[in-house]
Amino acid sequence: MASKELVAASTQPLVLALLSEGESYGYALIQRVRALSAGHLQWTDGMLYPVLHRMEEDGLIESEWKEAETGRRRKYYRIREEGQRALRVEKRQWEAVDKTLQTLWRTIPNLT
Amino acid sequence: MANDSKSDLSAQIAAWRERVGAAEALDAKDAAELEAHLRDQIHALKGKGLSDEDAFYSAVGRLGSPGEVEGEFRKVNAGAVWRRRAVWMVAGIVLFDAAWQAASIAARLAALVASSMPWSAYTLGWLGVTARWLVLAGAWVGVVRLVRNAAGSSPGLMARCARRPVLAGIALLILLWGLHLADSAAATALARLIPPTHLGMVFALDLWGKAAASVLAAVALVVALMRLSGRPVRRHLPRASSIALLAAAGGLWLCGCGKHDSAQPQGPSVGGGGSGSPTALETSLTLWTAGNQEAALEKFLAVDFSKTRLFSTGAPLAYSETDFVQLPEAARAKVGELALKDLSTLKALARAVADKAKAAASAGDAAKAERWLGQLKRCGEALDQPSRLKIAQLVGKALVKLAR
Repeated sequence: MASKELVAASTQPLVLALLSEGESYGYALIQRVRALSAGHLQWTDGMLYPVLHRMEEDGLIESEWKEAETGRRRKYYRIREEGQRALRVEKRQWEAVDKTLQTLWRTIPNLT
Repeated sequence: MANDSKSDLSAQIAAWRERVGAAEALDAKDAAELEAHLRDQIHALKGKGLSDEDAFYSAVGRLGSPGEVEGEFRKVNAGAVWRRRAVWMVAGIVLFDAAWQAASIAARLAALVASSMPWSAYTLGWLGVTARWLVLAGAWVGVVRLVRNAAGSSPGLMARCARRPVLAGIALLILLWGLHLADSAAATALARLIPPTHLGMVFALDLWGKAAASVLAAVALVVALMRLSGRPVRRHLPRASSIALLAAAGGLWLCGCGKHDSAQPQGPSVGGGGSGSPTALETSLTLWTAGNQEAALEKFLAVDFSKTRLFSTGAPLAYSETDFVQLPEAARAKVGELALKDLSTLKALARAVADKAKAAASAGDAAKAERWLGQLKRCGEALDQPSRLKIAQLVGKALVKLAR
């Protein structure tokens, strides 16, 4: 289980990455992350929505209320050009962190 | 059975939605989005075999603690939260002012309408005070209802106002402006139309009613603010505050009565004023105004000016200068106007008396001329007393001069 801080820090890149695959809504995003991380990343469901709203305010994503085929109304989010740029920046930063850590992990022998 | 549990779940979701919607930091769309999420989650959990109840509580639990979630929303919606607060604040001020003005208008109109009845100034004053308090009490009940209704769902009118702040602001300004204007008009009409003898008492009681109402309004506002802030108002507090309110009202009432009793013997401004039978001079003036000049002159000739009471208590010309300057401004204007009117009638009458004397003299009836002139001189002297209005004293001097 990732710590609260790590979850908070990784929410934005995760959302951007998932939305770059296509539009989606809050509940589906949460399910995708849970499945992809095999349960290691557990979002508190209610906390995702303020993040989505802030990202929308920052112009990274946009939203639209739509009726699903089941007749349910949901708010769908879509990534914007600005969000694509932010995603590339995030990717570089996370890769830098990952690369550094990977190097370090190899130098410490019995760390599991 | 299945239907029952379904409606149970719907009711639970509706109740949850109401709680969420009441949070200050969330608007209606935020709540709708969270509800959609909750329904998806419940649907999925039920698909795994959970009962309605378990699915609901599990889904709500996964949303996180309401305080924390609202805190996150507050960070994002900070601007909207403050906008909503500002709108409520302005709405509160406007509603208070509107109710206050409406109460004031009601007080004045009640006194004005009642002034056509042969009631005392004291009764008129209390009618005004009662009208003011009734309107304020009605406004209080209305506000309490409004707040109660608005607590659960988002208030439609408020939301619409918040969306069109400029339009709503202009509408409110016009409303307030109209109410202030109407209040001024009502006050002016009251000052002009009720008997001048009643003015002092009616306005004194009106001001007293206003002061008492503002004390009660302050208490009411504190109670309202405590309720609005969701502070648990303790069980004994309403009872204690009602007792305090009643005690305050009783005390103020006694003050009002005391004021009335002590004010009664003072000056011509209070009491049944102007009532009682008119004096001989007043009858003469009334006859003159009515166009019955010969009768007026006859009456004038019969006036015994050695009597001190030229005018009945409360009549404009019965005021002393000292009492006159102490009247409230509106009353002073009214009394002054009436006094001037009476004096100009008296001057016209005096000229007719002088003409009579001249006619008698030219007809050779010196005794009759002397009677007319003597009466005129005595009238002038009776007016030129330090206890009278300065303007009346001047007219008195002029009358004495005319008699020579």
